[in-house]
Amino acid sequence: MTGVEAAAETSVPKIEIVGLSRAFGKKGSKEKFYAIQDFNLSIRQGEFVTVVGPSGCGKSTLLDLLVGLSKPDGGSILVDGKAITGPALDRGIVLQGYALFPWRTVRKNIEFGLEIKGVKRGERAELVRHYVKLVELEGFENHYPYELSGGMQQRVAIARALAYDPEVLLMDEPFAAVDAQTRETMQDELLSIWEKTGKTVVFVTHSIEEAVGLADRVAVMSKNPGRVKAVIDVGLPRPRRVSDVRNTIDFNVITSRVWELLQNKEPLPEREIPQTNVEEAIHDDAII
Amino acid sequence: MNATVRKTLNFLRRLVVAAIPILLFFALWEYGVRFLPKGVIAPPSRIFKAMFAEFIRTVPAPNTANLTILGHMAKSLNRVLRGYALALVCGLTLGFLLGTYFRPLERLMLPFFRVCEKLNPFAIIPVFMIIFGIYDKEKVAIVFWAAFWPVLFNTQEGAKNVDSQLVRAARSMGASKFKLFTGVIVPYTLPSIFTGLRLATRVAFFMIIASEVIGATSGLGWYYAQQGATHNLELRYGTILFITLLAIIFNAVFGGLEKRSLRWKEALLV
Repeated sequence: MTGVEAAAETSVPKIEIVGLSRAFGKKGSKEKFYAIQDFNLSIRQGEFVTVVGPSGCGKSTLLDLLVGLSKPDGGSILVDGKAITGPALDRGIVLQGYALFPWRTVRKNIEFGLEIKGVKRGERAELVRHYVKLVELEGFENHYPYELSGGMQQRVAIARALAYDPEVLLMDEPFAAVDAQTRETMQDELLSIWEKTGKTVVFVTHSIEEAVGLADRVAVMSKNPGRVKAVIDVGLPRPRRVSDVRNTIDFNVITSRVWELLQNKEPLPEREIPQTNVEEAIHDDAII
Repeated sequence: MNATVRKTLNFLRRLVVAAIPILLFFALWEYGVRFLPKGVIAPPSRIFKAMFAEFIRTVPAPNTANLTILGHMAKSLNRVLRGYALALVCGLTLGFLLGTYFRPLERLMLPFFRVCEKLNPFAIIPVFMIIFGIYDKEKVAIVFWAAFWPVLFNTQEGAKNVDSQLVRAARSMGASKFKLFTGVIVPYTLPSIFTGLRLATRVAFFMIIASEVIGATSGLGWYYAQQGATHNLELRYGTILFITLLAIIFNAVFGGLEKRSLRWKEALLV
């Protein structure tokens, strides 16, 4: 256990999800369908946690609950020890398919949350400048979303979620809609933004590679009802680039373990992660 | 600078090309009239002359019965604007309510509204005359009736289909109901509102002329009918051309307004 982890163990977790459940009524019957049942997960301050699971396992339902857009039927979500009561600016979300306001320019999109927060005009301009620079979109401030590529739109969405300075960044399959190359670039950019800002990130995805490549820990979900099957420590070194670690043995061992968990009902006995070649791979460009 | 010049030249070229068939049409009209019996169609040259005289004719102040075509136009526009504004306020309000916060009412009310819309507005003119008389009130009511439905339906339809991801995005940032409405629902609905407004403008003009032709004491429609009654061929055709010109101007103004408001949608409009 590293020093950071030991310190985190003793303090209050950033997000504590305990016994969470969310049910939906089935059409034409009194039976209830549990999208999420008895979901437990604890996330530390500044941690990057990915949630991976098959489609329909309740990932989006989980995020809706975390955002506060819907209310749980049981259990609770604590942020900094306090139960959440609804959407608030301490949690920012990046939605699937960007969800940019098409009638607003890049600048005005980023300003949306700031307007709600009541930030003054001059200060807004300052923040926009900062976040536009962070996501490398300088010169596109006055463009409309339709004038941007998918990757650029995604960056606007990230800037918009970061601009009002939430402590937690929730991401709902944000790179699902962009092409493979752009996705890889975006993953590395996200990691670098995360390293710069130190936000706590909860990232939902159905891609195992993405989940392992980005995360400190991967929460593997099962389906019907959606709950955490296992949490895997990734332990790949930081600062990290997904493109660097992708071909290492450690990465492959972890991804195949996640894969096994998703495939089988019972988790297999744990195997040791060799932790051999990652450092070399990153620092000496010795890709296997 | 060079780009602006080229743009202007391009525009002028398009204008000239577009004007060719129109000018040809007038030339043919001027020439073809000679082969028709007298008193059927007036040639454009005489129409323009008569219209010009009508435009510069002065009316002694108190004599409203003898208004020029411009005076009657003012009367008609006044009625259209009042009816249109009323349709706008009611249509937008009801459209947004049914499309958003009172969705359950939609199922109850919409079929009935659809039936109302399908009533032939010409057929209702006599009914409205009985209720409201033949003066301004009836004209405003007719315009309102015709313009209300397209505004209502298009607003409701647009507001109903607002992108749920955008609503989620706004709500996740803690948007109040008010901010959600002004910041997401209204801008999202704007394109379909414009569709409704365009339709409404068209029927509003249609109906004001029609209702004034059928029964009135002033207005462009009445003026037109009057020229028929007095067999003033030049002014009769002149009025038709004048009304057409008005419609073109309104369309252009509207188009400009729409393009300006929906600049963010340019890629989709082109």
